[in-house]
Amino acid sequence: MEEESDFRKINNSFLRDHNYATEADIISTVEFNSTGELLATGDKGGRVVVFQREQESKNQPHRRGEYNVYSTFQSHEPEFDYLKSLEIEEKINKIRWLPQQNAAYFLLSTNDKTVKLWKISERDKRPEGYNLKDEDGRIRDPGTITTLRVPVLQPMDLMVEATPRRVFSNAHTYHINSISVNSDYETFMSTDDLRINLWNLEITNRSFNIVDIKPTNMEELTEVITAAEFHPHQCNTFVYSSSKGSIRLCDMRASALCDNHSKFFEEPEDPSNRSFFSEIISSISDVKFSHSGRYLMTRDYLTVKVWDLNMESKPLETYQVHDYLRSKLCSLYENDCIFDKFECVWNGSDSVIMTGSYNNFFRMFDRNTKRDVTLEASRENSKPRAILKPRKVCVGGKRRKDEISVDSLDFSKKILHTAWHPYENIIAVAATNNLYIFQDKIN
Amino acid sequence: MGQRDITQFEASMKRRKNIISAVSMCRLDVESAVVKKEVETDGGDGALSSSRYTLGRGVKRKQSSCEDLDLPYPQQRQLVLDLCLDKLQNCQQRAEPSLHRSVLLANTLRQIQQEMRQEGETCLPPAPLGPSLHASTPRHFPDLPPVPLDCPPPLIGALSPLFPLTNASEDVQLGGAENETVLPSFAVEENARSSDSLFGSFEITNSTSYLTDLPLDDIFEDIDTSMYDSSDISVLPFPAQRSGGMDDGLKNASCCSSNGSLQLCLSDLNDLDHIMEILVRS
Repeated sequence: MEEESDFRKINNSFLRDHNYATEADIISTVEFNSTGELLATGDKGGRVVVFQREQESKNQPHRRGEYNVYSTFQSHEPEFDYLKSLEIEEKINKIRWLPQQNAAYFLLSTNDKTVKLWKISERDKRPEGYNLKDEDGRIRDPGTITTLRVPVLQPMDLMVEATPRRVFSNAHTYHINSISVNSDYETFMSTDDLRINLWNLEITNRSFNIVDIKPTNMEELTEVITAAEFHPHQCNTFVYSSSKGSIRLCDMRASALCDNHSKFFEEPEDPSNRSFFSEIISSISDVKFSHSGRYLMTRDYLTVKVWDLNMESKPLETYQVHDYLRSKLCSLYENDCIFDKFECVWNGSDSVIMTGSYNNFFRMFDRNTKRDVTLEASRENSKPRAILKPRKVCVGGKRRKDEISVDSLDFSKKILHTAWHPYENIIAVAATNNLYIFQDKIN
Repeated sequence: MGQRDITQFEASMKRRKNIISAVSMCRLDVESAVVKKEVETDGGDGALSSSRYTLGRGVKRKQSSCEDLDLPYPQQRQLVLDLCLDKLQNCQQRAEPSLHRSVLLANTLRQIQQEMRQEGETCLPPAPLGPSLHASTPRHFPDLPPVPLDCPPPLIGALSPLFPLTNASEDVQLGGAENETVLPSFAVEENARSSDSLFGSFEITNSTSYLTDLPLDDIFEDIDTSMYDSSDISVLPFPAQRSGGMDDGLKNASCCSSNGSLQLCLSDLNDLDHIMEILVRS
């Protein structure tokens, strides 16, 4: 109950908008860092925008911890593979933060083929008074150097610099769909449609293939990997989900190549729901370990499921995200929406899960009270510091006031990417080219 | 270490100076209520969905071609199948199609084909379905990411005989109530021809690439083949007994021809015997 009332109180105390207007501006990933101080977004144009939470100030308590732009940089550029005659899109598929170990921040960003490690650091001093070069960096005429001096650090305007520190490339034939940093903080994995590679964060010219489901004969291919993630605490354990709706848990201690899973999570198909689209809608678009490491959450087209790592036969909980679309599958197939890849996230205490839907709606499910709420991320319906009103989609013929009919949902407005602050009730919701940040009501 | 090779890219921002502009850029200005340009999601798809779903209340929406749940099952299935083929074909036209999407589509296609085959076994002579089923879905896969260059334009063209069929079925459903009376007759006609014309087109796919892509073509070089257009060739029976279907046949054929023992190879594939007859006659 408490959680539920929390969500009703969640307001848009700071609603943001990037002033975006083109295809390149569509947000393709959102991720908080491990402290929640920073929030990164990636977009189709290959840019990464990092927001930083403002320090709380006693003078302006209502402006508690708003997020402001901290750094913007071009992470990936469009490329051309001359060997294959292929264009490689610059779109950022995923961003993952590394735990902070010093004053600088590190994040991994990936497009379809290449993972990059970026360092984001602040600089508020600059060295001045070099002997061999002048202030602009030009070499001085040795004839003019008459005295030696000691360079000094002078204060300057604070600069936030983003520099690429590592580029992990040439290891993926297919499209990278996920990256995950291991809890040993030394390795990470990158996953494409058919393979998972393990990298050391320091080594860019070598990676280890830990999963390979590519059949020798590609004609026999019926399944692809859709997402993968490391266990939050056990560095030897990871899971990957497939387009057939199953999840495999692998133990890297068992063998170097984890072709044999140690656990296989799958729910038998309900024959009463069988349709032409059963296969497509059962494809898992995202898999996430709970913070505790005890549960897994998976998202398929119509549902989000919570699995207990100790029960492989069926999910512990199944939540309907937008079951009213079940009768619309044919149209959604026709207009390609059925292939949309919705992601899902846990709240800090693993008691609430959140995932997106259409019409700029997103859903929250309270696992304890089994209550759920539909909220809308839109400029029209929300003012700063206003409380979000729960929305309701009307399924039957009779539409009540404040309800929206299934037929008037806008399927071009979809919320695919969301993020939840690691321990506070602050959420970030990407709606096409807008980023909305909502937080608990401040009392 | 690889990172030394990277050109240093510095994206920095003067924080103090820009923070004010950043804030004002970020804060939603509710008072001014600026109508922002909304980005349409990718091209046609987005347009399709928005035009279909965003009409205001009271406006009668255009009936989606497959939303009519009253459609007889075989027609629904045919529609899904047609869309599936259409989407797979579009996939191939992209430089690097999504493997995930292609696999989902191909599995759906397989499922429907299997269903149709099972029905076909009970009410249709199974013969024409056998080999083409093998050839149909797998044919798409060699053209996926690892060997994208293997996806030649002729292949796409070769699938085109499918279109009249697709269009016909779409017209029927888009027509709505008016055409509903016509439906039953259409259903029968389409059912009867759907399977073989569909699979027939796949055979064309194979036979065209057979003639254009392989060294065999050189051998036919000085023969006037204009009289045998692709549809004629598609009628040629292919070696159904070969386990791997068409591709195996092609591999054998190409390796044989490179050994200069084409004649032997073709006589091996005794189904192609009458190609030889044609050759000899001309």
